[in-house]
Amino acid sequence: MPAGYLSYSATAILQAIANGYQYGFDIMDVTGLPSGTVYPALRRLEHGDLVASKWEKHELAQSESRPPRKYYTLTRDGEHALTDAAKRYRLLEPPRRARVGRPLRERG
Amino acid sequence: MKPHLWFIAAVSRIVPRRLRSDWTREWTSELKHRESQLSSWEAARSTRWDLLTRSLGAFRDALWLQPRRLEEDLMQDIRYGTRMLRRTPGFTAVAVLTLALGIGANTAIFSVVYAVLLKPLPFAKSGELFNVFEAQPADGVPATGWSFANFEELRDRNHVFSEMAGSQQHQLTLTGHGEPSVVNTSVVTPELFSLFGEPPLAGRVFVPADGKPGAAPVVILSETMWRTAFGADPAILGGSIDLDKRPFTVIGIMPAAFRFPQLTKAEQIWIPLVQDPLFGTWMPRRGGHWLQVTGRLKPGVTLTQARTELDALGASLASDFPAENRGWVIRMVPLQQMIVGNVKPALLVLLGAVGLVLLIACANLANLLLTRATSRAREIAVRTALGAGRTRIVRQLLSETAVLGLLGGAAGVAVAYWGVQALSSLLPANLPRVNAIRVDTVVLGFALLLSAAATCACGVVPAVFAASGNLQTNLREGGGRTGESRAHRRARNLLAAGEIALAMVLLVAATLLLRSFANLTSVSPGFETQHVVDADISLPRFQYATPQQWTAFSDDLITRIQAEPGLKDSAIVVPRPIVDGVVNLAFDIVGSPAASAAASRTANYVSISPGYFRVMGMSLLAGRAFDQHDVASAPRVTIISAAMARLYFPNQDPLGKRLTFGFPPDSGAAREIVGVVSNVRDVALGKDPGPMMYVPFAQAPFWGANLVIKTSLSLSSVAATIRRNVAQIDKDLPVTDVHAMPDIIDASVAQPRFRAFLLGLFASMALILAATGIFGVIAYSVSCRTNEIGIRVALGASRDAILRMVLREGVILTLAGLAVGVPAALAASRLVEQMLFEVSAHDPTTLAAVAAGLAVVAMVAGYLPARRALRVDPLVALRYE
Repeated sequence: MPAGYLSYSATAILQAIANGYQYGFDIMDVTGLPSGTVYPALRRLEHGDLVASKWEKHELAQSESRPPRKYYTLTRDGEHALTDAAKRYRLLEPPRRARVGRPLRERG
Repeated sequence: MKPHLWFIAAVSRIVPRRLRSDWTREWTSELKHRESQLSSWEAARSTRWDLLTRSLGAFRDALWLQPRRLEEDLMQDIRYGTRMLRRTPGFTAVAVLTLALGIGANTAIFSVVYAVLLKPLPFAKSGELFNVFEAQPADGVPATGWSFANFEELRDRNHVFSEMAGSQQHQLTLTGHGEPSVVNTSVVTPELFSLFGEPPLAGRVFVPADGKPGAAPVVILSETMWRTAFGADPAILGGSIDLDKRPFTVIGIMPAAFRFPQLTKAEQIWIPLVQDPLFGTWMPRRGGHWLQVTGRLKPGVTLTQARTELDALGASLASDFPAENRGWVIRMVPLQQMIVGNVKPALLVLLGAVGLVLLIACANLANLLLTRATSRAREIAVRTALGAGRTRIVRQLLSETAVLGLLGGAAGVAVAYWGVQALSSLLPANLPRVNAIRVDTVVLGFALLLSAAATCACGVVPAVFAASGNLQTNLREGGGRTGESRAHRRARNLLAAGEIALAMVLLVAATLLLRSFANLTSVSPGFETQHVVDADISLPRFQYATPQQWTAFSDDLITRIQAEPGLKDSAIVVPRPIVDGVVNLAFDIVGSPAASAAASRTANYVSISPGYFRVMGMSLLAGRAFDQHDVASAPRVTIISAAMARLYFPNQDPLGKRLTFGFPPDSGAAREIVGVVSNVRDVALGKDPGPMMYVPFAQAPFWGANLVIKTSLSLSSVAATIRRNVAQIDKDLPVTDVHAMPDIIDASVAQPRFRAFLLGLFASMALILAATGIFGVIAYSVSCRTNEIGIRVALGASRDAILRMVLREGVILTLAGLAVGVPAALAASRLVEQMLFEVSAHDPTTLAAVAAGLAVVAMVAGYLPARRALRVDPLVALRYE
């Protein structure tokens, strides 16, 4: 998916993920976008290999006494796409390394 | 359950199964979590409302995932289908081959039909172009051309055509550029190019001034002509070329795609009508019908308006110039229809025939698939038991067929490419628009559509049958062949009988055409063809202007040729039978009352040198032949054909009777009948001999000569001798066509041969397919009944009884097929009625022979698997019971 085709909401979602808001409801909370926008956008981004998803480890969720969450992270393409799109939209602050979600990078 | 969770559960039903659990977990986990937080923190209702609105987004999410369902399932189906097909390579090969032949043959024929009948003419707004012609209904003259004077009236007086142009064609001799050659010359009024709106490649097109008497002679070359004859020399523009020994200035070059009025000739030139040595001299005369007129209808004018106007115009021409125009009316047809008119029925019959072949191929394939689906009943039962829905099974079986269809279609396009190449060498050269035939995007689209249709045609029934099998029975019956349900068997039998019926239709049509073609080629033309050579020499009209010059040339030529060793038997004739078309002239009999306009006396007029009858092997029935005393100054004489004697002098002796003609070169002089000669088929092999009259060439010379020579020498040596002798008389004369007479006769039946060959080919394909269809049905039935046959043999049934039992099935199928096929063939043969020569469309012999032949083939196809039934060992057959 070429970066030029990223919509405003997709860019906002990418930005939110980059900022560490990594699961659906969290993204909704921080972007203010409705669920009917956020989830299809996530599917689209994942289909275009701009984000990747991974289920939270069960033990980790259990320690916080909640069901596991599906976390989304930016792929390298996603980071480039976000940089390009952010330039176009001049929105939010420049991309920053994620605050949380470091543990998720263990995938490989 | 909380409403939002309930909603997610409901929506999850439409999420593709593969993604469903993951999807549901993602949505519910967080909803549940927040829900629990709400209760612990006792948050406000508005937040609960918030959860509900958020859950609503799941619907949009689920919708967005729908295309994935198709994508995933389709890929899975196709993968699975390909795997299944790979596992049965024999079946796959047969199925793909069957489809490829069917689709390929259809595509090839469609490419011809499309190019010839459907593709719009390559002119701007070609739908507005019409051919306008004169007709004389009372005399049965359906369509003919115009005189130039009448054309002028039509062009100037009508209000419905925005532009009109006249055209004719003949051949002129090009000299001064290498070997003298004959060029296809289109003789046109200057409006032709603006009528078609086609700009020249270089230079200019004709302007009205070029068409006025006294204008400087100008010529336009076709691009192909310019490239081949003039080496694409740009300097030719503005230069001069010699046509019939007269200089013409080249003013323009037309692009290769523009071909009118000679649609099939890439090499042609255009000159203004007024400059033509022949037609130019005919311009002032109002009588005569020789100019082809094309017009462009004004935008917004309806056909009815145009026809009404033409009717009125015809009436006023008849009252203004009654001598020439009484009884004549004006008619119009779309140009496209005029061009393709006579080949349309033949092409449509071929397209229908090849469509039937595909239908039979599909029936065959459907039968194969039905067999497969039956033998896979257990596999399907297992899949159903594991939860596959009925639609899912149907879709899966259909996608297997679709893979077959696509493979067949791809192979079919390859067959079509090859077929079009093979066709273009087979096609009669005089087929209109033959140059437009190719496999293009439209044709490929047709092939794709055909593949899809074929897939549906042969896939749907087996798939639905397979999916509706009884789960319990199929699971219980274990592996191997299960018994076939009655509905299956009925479907298979219906398909096989249908194949027989369709094959019957095709075979009858093909046999009729083949018999007709055999009749046509075995008919005697009335003259000798073996060892007769024919050569065409045309004289430039400007240089050879007078009849005296024509006679001098032909006398000189025939004397020289006859002096050559082995060429003693040679003569001159204009026009040649079959090759040239006829010159039909009206005449009166001196001493008889003048014939009424409605029943005028006409005969085909042929000018010959002495010795012609001997060369052609025609027999003199009465009187004498022409000799060297029948010269221009001698009393005028004629020899008539037996048909003419019977038609116009019934029960009388025609010898000594005198005939008069109104037409030059006789101009009213009377000719005495001095002989009666045997008939020849002068129009075509398929046409009965018409009344003919022969006159001595010396008394009625033409500006050219066709030599006919009876010789045992080789064609090339005869051609070389003729060229040498002609060059000795005039080195600028081209000798164009030197042919053996049998080749000429052969070429004249190119269209019937093409039709008969193709239809024969298709019928053979149909026969083979139908035979394999019967074979498949009986073979499968035998293999299903192995147990039963085993029991019967064990109980003492004789071999004959078993054989009879199996064969009876084939007999019933064949009889059922014939019961439908015979009436269908009778109905369909009416479509080819027009193309038959001396065979009735309802010829009982043909019908009986084809039915018998088909029955024999079907019997043999049924007997082969029946023999297998005899080899059934009761011990083996019963072992599993």
